Amino acid sequence: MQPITMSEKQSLRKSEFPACAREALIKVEQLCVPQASGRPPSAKEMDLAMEIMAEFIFCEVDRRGHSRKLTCIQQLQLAQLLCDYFAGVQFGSSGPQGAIIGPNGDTARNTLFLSLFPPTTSKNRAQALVQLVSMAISTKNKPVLDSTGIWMQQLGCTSKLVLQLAEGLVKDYFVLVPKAVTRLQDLPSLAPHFTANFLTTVAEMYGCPEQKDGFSPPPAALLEVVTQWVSDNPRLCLAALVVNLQPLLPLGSIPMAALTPFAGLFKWCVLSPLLATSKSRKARGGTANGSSNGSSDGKVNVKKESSDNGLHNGDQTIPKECPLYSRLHLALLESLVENVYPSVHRTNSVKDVVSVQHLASIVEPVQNWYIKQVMMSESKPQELTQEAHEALELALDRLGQSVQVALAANCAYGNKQYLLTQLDTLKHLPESRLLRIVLKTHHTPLF
Amino acid sequence: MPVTMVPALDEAQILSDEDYLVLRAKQAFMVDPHAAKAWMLTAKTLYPNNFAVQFEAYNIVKSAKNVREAAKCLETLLQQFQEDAELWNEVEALTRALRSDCPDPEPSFLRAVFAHLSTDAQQQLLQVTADRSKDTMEHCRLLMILLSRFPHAVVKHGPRLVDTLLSAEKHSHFQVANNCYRKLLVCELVPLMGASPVPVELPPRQLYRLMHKMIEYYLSCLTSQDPNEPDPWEKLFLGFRSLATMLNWDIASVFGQPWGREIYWQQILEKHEHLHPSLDPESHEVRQHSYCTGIFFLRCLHEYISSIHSGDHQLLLLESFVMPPSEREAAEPPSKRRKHDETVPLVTVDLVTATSTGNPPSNSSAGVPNSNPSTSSGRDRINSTTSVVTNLTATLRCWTMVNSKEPVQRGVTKLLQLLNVDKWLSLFHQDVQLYRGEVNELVNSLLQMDSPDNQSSNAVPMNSTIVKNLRLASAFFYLRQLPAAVDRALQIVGMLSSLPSGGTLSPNLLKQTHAQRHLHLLSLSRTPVLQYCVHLILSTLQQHFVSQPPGGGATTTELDMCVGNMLVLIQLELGDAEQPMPGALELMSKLVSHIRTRPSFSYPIFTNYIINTDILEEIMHLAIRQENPVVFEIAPPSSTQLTSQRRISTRGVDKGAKEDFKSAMRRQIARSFEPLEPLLIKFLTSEQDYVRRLLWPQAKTYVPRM
Repeated sequence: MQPITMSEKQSLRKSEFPACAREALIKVEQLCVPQASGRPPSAKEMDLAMEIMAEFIFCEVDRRGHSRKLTCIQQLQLAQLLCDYFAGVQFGSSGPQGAIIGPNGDTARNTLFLSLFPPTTSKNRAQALVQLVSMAISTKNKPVLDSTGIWMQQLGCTSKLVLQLAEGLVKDYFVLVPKAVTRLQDLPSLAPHFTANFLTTVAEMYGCPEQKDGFSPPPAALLEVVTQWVSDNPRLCLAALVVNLQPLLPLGSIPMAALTPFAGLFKWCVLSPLLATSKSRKARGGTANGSSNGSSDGKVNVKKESSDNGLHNGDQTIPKECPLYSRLHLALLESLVENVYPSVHRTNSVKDVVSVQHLASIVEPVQNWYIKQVMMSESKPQELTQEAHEALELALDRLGQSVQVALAANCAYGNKQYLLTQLDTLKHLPESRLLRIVLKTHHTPLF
Repeated sequence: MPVTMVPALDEAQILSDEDYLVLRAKQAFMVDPHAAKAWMLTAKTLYPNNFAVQFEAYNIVKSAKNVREAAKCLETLLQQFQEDAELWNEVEALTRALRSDCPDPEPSFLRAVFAHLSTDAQQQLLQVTADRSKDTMEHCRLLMILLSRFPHAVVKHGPRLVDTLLSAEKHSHFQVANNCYRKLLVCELVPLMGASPVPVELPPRQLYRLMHKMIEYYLSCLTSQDPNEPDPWEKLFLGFRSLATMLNWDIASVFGQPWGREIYWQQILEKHEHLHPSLDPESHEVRQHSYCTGIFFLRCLHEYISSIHSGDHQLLLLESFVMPPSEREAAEPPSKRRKHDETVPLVTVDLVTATSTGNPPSNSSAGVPNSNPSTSSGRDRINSTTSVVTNLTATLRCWTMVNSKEPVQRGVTKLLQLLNVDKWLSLFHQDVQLYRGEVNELVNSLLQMDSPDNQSSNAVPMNSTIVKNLRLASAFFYLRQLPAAVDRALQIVGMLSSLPSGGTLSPNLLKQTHAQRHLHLLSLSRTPVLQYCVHLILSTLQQHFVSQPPGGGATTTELDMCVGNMLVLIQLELGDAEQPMPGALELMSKLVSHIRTRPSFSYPIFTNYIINTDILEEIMHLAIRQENPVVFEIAPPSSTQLTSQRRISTRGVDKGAKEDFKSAMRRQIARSFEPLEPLLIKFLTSEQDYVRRLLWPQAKTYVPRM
């Protein structure tokens, strides 16, 4: 191996961006990817690699260490360059000098990707990542998407960086150009692992406990794409569980456990009717509350998307929430069942699909909503409006169905008793007959 | 927290949990099908062993027209709830749909559901339904669907199904071979067994039984012209091949080829020639050959029988008339003629198509089997579907082959007896006898049909009497028993009205040929049959006339009467002067020349029957010529005539009489447009004595042998 020294930086400085970025990538790969000997890079080598990335690839600093920034055009050039590099280079088999023979091209690629975007990635570089992945989606660049999927899992689908990436992608694909969704239809078959992790992240993004009401409705276009993905690909939600990450990771890395989108998306389906009701109630409440509509969440400025969810015309047989939720809910249930009774014969089903804690986390927002509704009630004795009643019924039915199917399909892991105890707190709510049936069915005597 | 219930689903509160879930699913179905399915999915996981829940799940996806889901539900139901009556109603609706092509949505949907079941489930469903079925037909039909969808099951179920169908047919006492069980057995099961990927094992005895049943079935389709079986021979040969394969016959492959009489004939002939004549009739080899030859013969025979019935009128093979070769041709060196086998009769037929009139002389070798295989096979292929004559000769040569080896002959005879094809065979046997010149046997068998037993049946149609008499007339003619021949001809003329009218004169009754005999396939309609009778009588009179020793024997009166009769009869074939039949003009001039040599000619019924212009002109010329005019007496004395009136005659020198004769002839010429056929029929019925008296000079005392 040719020693890479500080003089390398001098030679890189001779060329301008983006030519220097390409050369720098080759150098970084040489430094980060373990060579035939299997020796991991030394700390010194890693430091050099970091410096080269900062100065020549992402151009975050100049030669004197002062921070600078790429122009918009240059950012796009960089994304293009990275896409081409990841797609075009046969990692590990024929390096630039023909001497690098890695054990596995995918591993080499993932190693480089993880080095480029470490957990400590700066805000600017995170922005570059969004541009890279966004471009990879639109150009169907499978290598980049595969590496992104692994990167998401290793960092954790609910980590801040990953959430930032998902936010950026949602903005690009669902907010700015809603028509672009047709381009996403075959994403699950192109990059199932990435899509599954993306689903998990967006599911959390709109259903995290920090949100007001525990749930904020996703943009309609996103909901539509998610529903279609899950309906058409019954195994999609399980994709992250199926992949064995170990051989794909850099030497010595520990694969992170996968988190499936089930619990998060179930939360969407359970909480969506409740939110629709509270919103419409607020709307009826008068202009005084109008300001809260749409400005509650600065992080995701997509509140207006939910306005069509609140449509109601007094006809009680027509669901007051977007019908896509019903379809998504069914698709999720079917995906769970598919895991146990696959339509195509598979050797074994995947265990540990959804944790009981994760499922049980849906209970609290329901409780909160109910208490709030009753508090707001002006009638004596305090009771729910007809509308709220129906919303609650729908929410409880969906919750009951989710829990029942997850338990029956043997998909839930963890302390089931905890889940049942949580559910038990909802037992006294009206219209919870299904919940009572589920509890009765899964009740195990304590003695 | 005090909360009151919204009184929704009041009745739901008293339902069991299972029924509650089903109710929710049903309610949701109208509003939100996805929600309904979510309810059903939940219910299914809660109560996997509850039929009502599972069946409702099926009904919901069924009303959503989701084939894949419905198939999945049905499969679960079939695995778990085989005993449930409600499920069986559905399964029966499904199997009913499978058996029909009903385009309604429900059966179509059920068929699609069936197609989406796993093969195991499909097989199980059909098997169990068939086993449950109490109706044999139903049972067999279901098994048949099973077998047609799962060829590998044929080995297991085929033989048992054969037994079931055979005994079901037996116990149903059908009168005809074309019945529902037989149809299923022959049309569906036999081909399935033939196509089975694993050979089906059946005892040979059973296979022979199947073979008989199958041939019998298709023959009955042929005779009844069943519109549901458009091509019985094609199917019969395919079925035959299937069974022959199961019997390990090496000749089976022959029957897999598309039909071509010559191709089959060559292969069967080759087998035949290699067959050892002293083999046991029950041996594998002989049986195989007997069946193959027998079935091949039947197809040839059927082609022949169909072709003689294919025209407007049925055709009948009869002895016809030979014109002696012209002197120039007779003088040809024999070597030039030797290429024709003179013992093989010439067979002619009038083609309805405009391609040619009868068999041109170049085709006269059609009756020679394989005189030159390479050319005759080529020609046969061209003519095989069109020519009745080649159909006849091909059937004849096959029949000859069958009878050339005793064990084969016995085998085929036995097969034909079993198949009950007497009607075809008896017709063909008569043709064979006539063709081979075994005419005494033919006469005997025909006369036996006259026995009182047969007549008492009283159902003999006129037509068959005419056919019999035509055969007899032509047979007696062949045997030179001329009076008997004429007698039959006269009987036929009396019955002509029972024949279909129409037809045209045949130009092929009289043929110039090197062959010793000429056979004609006569069209059985009024004109040709009358022509045949007339020609036969004419031919007989001519021989009578020629056979008279010059200057002795017959009296002048007899001779005149003979010539007069011939003049009457010849008119039919002279017909329209532009298109006289072959030989007619020559005969007329012979007759005129004969009259010319005589001083007088007396034929009292002349004015009644002779209206042909050519004859009348010749007679006129003979009567009024300057030298040796012939004296004619051509009208009978009439009681209505006044004494002053004279007989129409040229006797004497009375000038008025001559004028009378001339005007009488003009009257005859004026009648020349009268139709000839009624005139001749009238002649041959009213004036029979004129004909008979000549042939039976002592009619009162002489009884001809018959």
